[in-house]
Amino acid sequence: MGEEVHQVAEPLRIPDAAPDEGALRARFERDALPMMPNLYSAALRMTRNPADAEDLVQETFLRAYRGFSGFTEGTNLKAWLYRILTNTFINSYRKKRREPQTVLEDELPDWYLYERLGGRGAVASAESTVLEAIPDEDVRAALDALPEGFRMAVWLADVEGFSYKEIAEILDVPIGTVMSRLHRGRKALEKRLWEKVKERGLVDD
Amino acid sequence: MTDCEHVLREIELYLDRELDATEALHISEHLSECGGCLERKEFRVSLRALVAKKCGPTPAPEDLMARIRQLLANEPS
Repeated sequence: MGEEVHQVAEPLRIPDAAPDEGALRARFERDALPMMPNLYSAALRMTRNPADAEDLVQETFLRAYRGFSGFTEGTNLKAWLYRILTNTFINSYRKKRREPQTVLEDELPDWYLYERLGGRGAVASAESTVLEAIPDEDVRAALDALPEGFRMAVWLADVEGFSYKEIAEILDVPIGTVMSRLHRGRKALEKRLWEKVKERGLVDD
Repeated sequence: MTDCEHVLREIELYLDRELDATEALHISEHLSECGGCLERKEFRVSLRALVAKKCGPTPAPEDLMARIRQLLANEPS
């Protein structure tokens, strides 16, 4: 996961840059820019709005470029970029567009969805058929319905494949917080998916 | 606590590859012998794959990369 977007850097023409500055720019274009599609998707999950996501990604790359000389080559560039994305989002967007506070259920049982899909015995394929039938936009909406901190933790782990440590760095929270957000966020996502399953009439009640 | 309870409690960390090698091996061994736990584990795996696939990368607008390049070109080197 997460390594799928690799493009070949385009040839560069920076006639009047000093050689090492030109090298920095070249390195940025080669290493950082190919991650733009991933960052755009993450930005879309954060802002839940395409226009804001575009602005956020542009601002992120601008900030990243300005700070790139401070980035240590060989360390985790992707996590570094996500960290800037998160900071930019918090500083520029969340203030402007305060999202209504959604509250997460206190405690849902483990295996919430598994139990409801009647997952006892050899029905694993039926479960996946039911889940498979949920339209993409419903799954996105279910994820988007989670409070921001939970939504991002689940996204970073399950879609982007980041480790707990990386997520902790990106979101600037302790690892224990990452674990509890993932645990609670995933269960809450299961509950929302179950609601979608019922809304779409994918199971008999 | 039975071994199943223990394994099911650790399954999230196991799937996140956040357990140490000894504990991960213990879970793997249990899963190879216990159909019930294996089925739950498989359910989790397929659920995650589904979320990743259905929420996966949304294509960025076509001109966004060009706009970012333009933005960077305007930056002093």
